[in-house]
Amino acid sequence: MIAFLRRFARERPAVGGLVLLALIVAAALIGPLLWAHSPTAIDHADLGAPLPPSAAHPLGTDVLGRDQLARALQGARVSLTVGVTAMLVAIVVGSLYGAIAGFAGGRSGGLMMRFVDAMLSFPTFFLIITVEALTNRFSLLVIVLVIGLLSWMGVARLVRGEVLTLREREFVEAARAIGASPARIVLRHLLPNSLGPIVVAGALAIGDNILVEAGLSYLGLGVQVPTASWGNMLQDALGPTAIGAPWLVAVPGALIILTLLGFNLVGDGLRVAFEGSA
Amino acid sequence: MIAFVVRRVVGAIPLLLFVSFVSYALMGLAPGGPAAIFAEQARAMSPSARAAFVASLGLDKPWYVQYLFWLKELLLHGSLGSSYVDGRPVVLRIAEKMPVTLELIGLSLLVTLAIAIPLGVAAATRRNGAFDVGITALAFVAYGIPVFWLGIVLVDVFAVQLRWFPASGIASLGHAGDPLDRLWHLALPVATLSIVGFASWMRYQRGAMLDVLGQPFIRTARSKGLAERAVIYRHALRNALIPIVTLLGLSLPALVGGAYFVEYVFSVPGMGYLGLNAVFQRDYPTVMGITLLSAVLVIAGNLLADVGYVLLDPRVRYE
Amino acid sequence: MNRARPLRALYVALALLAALSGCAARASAVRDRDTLVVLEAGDADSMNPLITNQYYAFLYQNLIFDRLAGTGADYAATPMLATSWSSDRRGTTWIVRLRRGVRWSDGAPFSAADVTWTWKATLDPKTGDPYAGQYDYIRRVVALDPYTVRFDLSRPNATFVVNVLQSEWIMPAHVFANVPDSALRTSPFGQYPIGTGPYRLVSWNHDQECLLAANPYWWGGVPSVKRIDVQVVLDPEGRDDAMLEGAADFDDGINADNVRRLRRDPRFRFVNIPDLYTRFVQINFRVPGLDDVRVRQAMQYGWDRYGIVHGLRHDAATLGASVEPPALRFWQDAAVKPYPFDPARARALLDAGGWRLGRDGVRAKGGRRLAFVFSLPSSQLGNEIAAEFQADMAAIGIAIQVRVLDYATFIDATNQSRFELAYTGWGGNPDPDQLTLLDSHQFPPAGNNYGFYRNPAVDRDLEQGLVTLNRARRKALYDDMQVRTARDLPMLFASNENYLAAYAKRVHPTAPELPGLYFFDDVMHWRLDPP
Repeated sequence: MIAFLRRFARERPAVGGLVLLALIVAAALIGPLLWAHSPTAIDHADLGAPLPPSAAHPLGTDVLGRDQLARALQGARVSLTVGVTAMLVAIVVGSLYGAIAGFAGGRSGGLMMRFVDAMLSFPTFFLIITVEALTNRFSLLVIVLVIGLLSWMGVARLVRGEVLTLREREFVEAARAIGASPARIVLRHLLPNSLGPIVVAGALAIGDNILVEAGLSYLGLGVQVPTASWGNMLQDALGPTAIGAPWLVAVPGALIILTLLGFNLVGDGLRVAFEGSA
Repeated sequence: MIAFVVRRVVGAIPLLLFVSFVSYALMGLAPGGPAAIFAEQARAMSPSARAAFVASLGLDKPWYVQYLFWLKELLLHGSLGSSYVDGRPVVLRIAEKMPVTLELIGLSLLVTLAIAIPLGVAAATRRNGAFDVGITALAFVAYGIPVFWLGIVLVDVFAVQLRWFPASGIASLGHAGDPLDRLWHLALPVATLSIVGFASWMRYQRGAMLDVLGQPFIRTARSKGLAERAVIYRHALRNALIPIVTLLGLSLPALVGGAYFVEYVFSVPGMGYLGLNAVFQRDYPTVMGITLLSAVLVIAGNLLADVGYVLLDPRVRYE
Repeated sequence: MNRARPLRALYVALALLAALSGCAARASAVRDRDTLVVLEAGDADSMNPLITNQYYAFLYQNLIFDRLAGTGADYAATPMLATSWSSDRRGTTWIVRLRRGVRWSDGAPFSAADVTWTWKATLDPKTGDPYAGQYDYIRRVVALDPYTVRFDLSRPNATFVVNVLQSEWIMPAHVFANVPDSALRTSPFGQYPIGTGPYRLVSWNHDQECLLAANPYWWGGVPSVKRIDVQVVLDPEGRDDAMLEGAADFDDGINADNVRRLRRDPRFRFVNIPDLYTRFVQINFRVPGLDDVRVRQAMQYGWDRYGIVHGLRHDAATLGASVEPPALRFWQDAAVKPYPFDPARARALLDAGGWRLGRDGVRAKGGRRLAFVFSLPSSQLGNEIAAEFQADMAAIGIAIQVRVLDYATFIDATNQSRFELAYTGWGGNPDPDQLTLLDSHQFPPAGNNYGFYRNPAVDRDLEQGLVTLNRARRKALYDDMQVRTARDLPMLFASNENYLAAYAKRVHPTAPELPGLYFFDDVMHWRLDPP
């Protein structure tokens, strides 16, 4: 464990990414408590006239006069929550599925993976949009489930691959000899030893999920008004209003890019750290 | 080889059946069928008129029965049915829009590879130097750029402010069919897709080159006294391109998805634009047609990747 | 084999393409004196009048087909395919006399048989015409001779002239000689229409361009605008660019934001007139709390629609004050004024009604909280209005939860009355009748009174108004109805979007200035200066 942390700490970009993420998460958690403006309060006097950044509104206001900093902070909470939760759904479902398929092997294992192939044949993005449009209940729970349940397949493949190699190892033979049940073997031995790739996949998945959520919200199929998400902050940012108000486009975009940079750097660092231990 | 391809194509059929069945189920179970949209514009569509309309489209039957009808149409007549929106054959509606999407995807792939491959090779050969670090950093940042956001920014800056490129569409007035005008309109959408896509390709190429450069046969070539350029281009690159080919096929789904977004932001009338509208209009036949076509593209992409792999790497053989 | 060579070739090719494409579209579009280039934000899918229900389709249909009567100043009926019409005293029999010497664009002669066929097809449920339901009072349409048609109605109906004579496009019977009504929906006629109107379809490239040219057989002579080139440009900035470059003459349906961009250029003129559509928040009277008139009035007083009209819409909208659309100047009751923005009065009303402010900032009475769900179809403006409404209501102690639905689901939900407050609209028709929306016998599925509004006095006004052919008497009834509904608030009046258009100085439209489709009614007589 110590060796692993030390290897991670040696990757300076990864550490940088971690610091960046820590700052963003801290801002998301504490920010709303420190910053008094409400993300949904509308300024009647300024309807239709977004204001540039100023002392009162460090990130400016949007077309309804709402403070962009407050909205960005709320958006951070929402986007991060969706990203992490959807990742957990995908990881849990995918790991279990992949481990079982890998462990079972043979006919049934093959069949399970054929199902994964079938799911991967779907045009995922189009499918997400269709499901979102059709279910039409845009609570965070539904968004998380939709994103999570349409991205578990990659993890399943990954874990199955790991389990296939692990299956032949001695400790698994030993466990079987003792008479451990398959469930126990999967849960106590196989999964924990596949943790490396799972964790890396998880870190990268959070970033991808944030992108998907941003896209959905931008199309109006994700987080709904008036709750702010980085994606739906961009909904109003297209068109003539935005031309005179570049901060409306720059702020959400910059935040998404920075957050994803953080997750990707950390994910890359984790990968290096894990590989060193193989 | 032929046998391999044939087997894969045959194996794709149950896959496509599965995709179509699940899609139909999703749409059938969702609230708000096509009759809903229609009835809004009509002042109190009388109950008998609505019943007739619903029956004429076969919508009064449960969705699994409708699916069987759709399947029968497809297998016996090669038809994907008619759109609920205008009564025209779905195949025709898609055929009108497909070329644009293919152009978009094709061009962006070309541009992306044209940038990513040399950059990846250069980064690998100057490993850990300033150039490598810079390019890698750029790639990491580019990974996180949302496609639609980049599209919006490019439109605002290059189209609206600078007026260098058009903000939307695929043809200027009176220039429909002019290929140069078409390219001019596609410039920004292609740039958007390419910038977002180049990062991963560049990294893959770099990784692949590094792998190959570390191999024994490279050392052998160097020790034989071959010029460095020859080593890189004649021996290493050829082998490093192999994973790229595989990736080409596998990245098709992501490319198609990204293209849909770009079509939306730039108002390019392609398949993505058609598909999104069809979902919102509950035009089931068109949605099914596009879902099926996308699945075909994905499966074809995978097949191409596997075939390419076999062709390029003499060490791999499939029975 | 050297892999570098194909790569190098690739670069040269790309570089060439890039350079060339830069030089590409500097040339301007072909423009000539007799062609009017119109920009539209969308395209129709078909031009078959029996199945279409979109604005873009109506636009084309108005140019290619004729109705029995046209529309003049203040929506008065003018002769078109019919030269005169009259009804008997009871109003249940109408005689319509048709114009002679009219030909279809394929040369065949027009006669009463076309009118009877069109109505037979429209009324047949097997055709699936979405508007057939509003004609259930027509019993028979009979040709008395080749140039006279008789309509037999089961009861008198004051909307006959507007809805029957001025709205229905007449179709050629000879084209459909052997086509059963059930096959009309998928007929290729929608892509290859034949009409008696001033224009005929030359070519149609869906979602890109539609070319119309003068119909050589048109009974009205030769149009001064010989060709109409409709260009579909999906996004507003693209349309602005086309206008600024001089590539188009008319931007139909320009956005309020884009007007500002074009206004600085002296080459353009603008149209900004009230339209035939009303936007409102439909109220579901079966939801406890919403059935209290004080709550409804408080919501209306507490909603800052002025901010929407001035701020968000840059004065390209008109405040809603009545169920009648602002474009119907004759029928709008001038005595009914829009509610002012007065949150203090709103709070006073709620206090007087016993709705006390709870600790969570939401008013309640007898265990019932004033918390409602506000549904709307997704759109950028809709989202902004919803957020604004929510904030305003919160300020007077009413909690609003916004639920954005995609269009199809929204329609489905409202049709089945599964809503509490729904942001929707109505209109497009120059007749003042509002029966299907407000009459208490028109609860779904019979009519469109999805909110279950019930007011016997309003019922009387509407039912009487529907069968009163005398204009002055009819106006008195509808004035009374408007006063009552303004007090009673079956819906919350919102802001009604105006009809906005921009056109180049070389275009000289003819009067009168009516919104939307009606603006183009006389396009064949417009004057065009050389470009």
